[in-house]
Amino acid sequence: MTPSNLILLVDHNARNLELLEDFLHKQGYQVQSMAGLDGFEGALDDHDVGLALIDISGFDRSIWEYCQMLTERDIPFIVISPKQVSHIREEGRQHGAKDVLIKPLAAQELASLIKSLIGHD
Amino acid sequence: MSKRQLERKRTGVLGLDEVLNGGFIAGRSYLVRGGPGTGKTTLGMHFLCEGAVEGEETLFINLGESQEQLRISAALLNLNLDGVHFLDLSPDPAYFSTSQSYDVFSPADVEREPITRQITETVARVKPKRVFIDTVTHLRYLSSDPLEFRKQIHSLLRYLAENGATVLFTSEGSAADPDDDLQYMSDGIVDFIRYSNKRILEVTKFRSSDFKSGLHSMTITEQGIEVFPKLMPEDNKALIGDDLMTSGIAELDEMLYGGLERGTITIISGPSGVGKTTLALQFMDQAAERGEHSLIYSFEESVETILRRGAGLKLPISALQERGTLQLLAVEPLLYSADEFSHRVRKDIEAQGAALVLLDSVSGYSLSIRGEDLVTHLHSLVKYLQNRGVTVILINEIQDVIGEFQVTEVGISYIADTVIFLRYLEYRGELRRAIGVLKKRLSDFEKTLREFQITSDGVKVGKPLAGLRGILMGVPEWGDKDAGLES
Repeated sequence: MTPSNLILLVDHNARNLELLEDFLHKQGYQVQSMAGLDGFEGALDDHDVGLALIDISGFDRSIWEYCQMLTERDIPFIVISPKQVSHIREEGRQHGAKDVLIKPLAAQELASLIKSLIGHD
Repeated sequence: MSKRQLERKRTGVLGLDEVLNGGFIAGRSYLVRGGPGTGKTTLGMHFLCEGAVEGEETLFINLGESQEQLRISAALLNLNLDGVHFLDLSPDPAYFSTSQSYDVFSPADVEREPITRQITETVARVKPKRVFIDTVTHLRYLSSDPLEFRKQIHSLLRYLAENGATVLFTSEGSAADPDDDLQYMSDGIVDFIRYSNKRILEVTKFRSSDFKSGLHSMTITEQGIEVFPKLMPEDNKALIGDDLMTSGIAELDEMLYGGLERGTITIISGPSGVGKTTLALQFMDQAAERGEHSLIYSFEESVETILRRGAGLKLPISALQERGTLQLLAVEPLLYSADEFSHRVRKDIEAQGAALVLLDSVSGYSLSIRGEDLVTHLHSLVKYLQNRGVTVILINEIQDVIGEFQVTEVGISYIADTVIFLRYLEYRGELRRAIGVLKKRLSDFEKTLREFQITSDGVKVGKPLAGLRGILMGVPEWGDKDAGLES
């Protein structure tokens, strides 16, 4: 089976979502983006998601349950965190994140990280 | 390429063209620095309007103020931006109201690319010969680090130059946010300085060309910026003539061994009310009689006062004025800076020529200097006049009415070729006046003093006061001979 080209994007901030979408489109990925968590599970059921990008800013602790869902389905994901806080890094890893990135993201770094994750599941 | 062949772009401000020896050099980039409200944007507008007048394509890249605001300020300065293309990169109001903020990428990553694209697209479309970027400081925030910024601006300026544009860009330099990097990058720097309530312009760098260094006064009025280049005396040369300017008073001309040499500088020094201006008017009167033009810059008295005074002395000042041989100009010192005043004198001289110029007085002039170096300013002004063959008379007031003698209180006597002084002296309980010549570079002169009187028939100078001692102290004593004073 060829790895899916579809990236699931979760970000509470509309402008961030827009910028990330643009960025991923330019890299040649398909994007399914959501500003909230309603329909998260449904999206996983309906689409063959190859990778998820989760910006945790603006969400409460329940976000980790959704991360757990991704781990259970074997979908690799990257957590995007607003600031350098060690417990988020730790918690992210515990819930199965491949990496925890701190905003603002370095575009080049993000691109190569996605590339390495989406190719090899 | 020789310097003479460098193409110049006029700045739109006459005085600045003069400071820059003709204008900015085409295809180069120039930095305009200065604090808020110093006139950076206004200069840019002049620069673009000048291009539009010359039929060039011009581009205004505005990152701070909106195009609409800029057009309003331009209209207030009577500048017409109609022919100017705009690339409006100023933040639009929607940015605030719709909270377009983001944090997932740094502004450098998000905004730089579209801005770069917009600039290159616009330049390719407009093909501007003149570009004004206001202000480059905004672009600094779009670079992740100083090196990055430097490279960005460098390549932007080179891109514009390669496309045939002469560029003016502004920066907001402060101690906290230095703009040294931009200063190195530019081909020239125009600095705007505000010093108390005066505006000053200085060119601190100008590659491949000479320029007039130093601080030049400027004003911003409804007509925009006006720059008054500091006078550089060596710019002009004229010779001192052989003929003499006489006073028309035989005794005084005798004291001066004929009169004042044309193109020299004379200081008439003395306490208040002793008759310095009156004495100077004698020379003006004589010059006018010969059909020569004289100018009087009066810092202290109104034109009316001088006219009445002339009438009292039977000097035909009003008649001379009507004939156009004498011009009285009242100068309000607080309205002029030294450079502005020099500029005015220069304009007057160049427009109508003058054989004789009277500055009444040095203290009035020093008021317009406002704390700056009086001697330097006065020196360059009188040297300029001298180089044009103009004879200059400076009126200098001494504070002490009597007492120990002093030529001037401000150390300017070295400027003068001739110093004539007037003194009060007490003689038999009466206040009398004496006149003497202290110095005359170009000829010998009479070393004794004479009595000086102002009567209803005009100025009278008596016989040499050979018999009195201690005149310079103000309280003369009998010598062995006849005093020579009229009893």
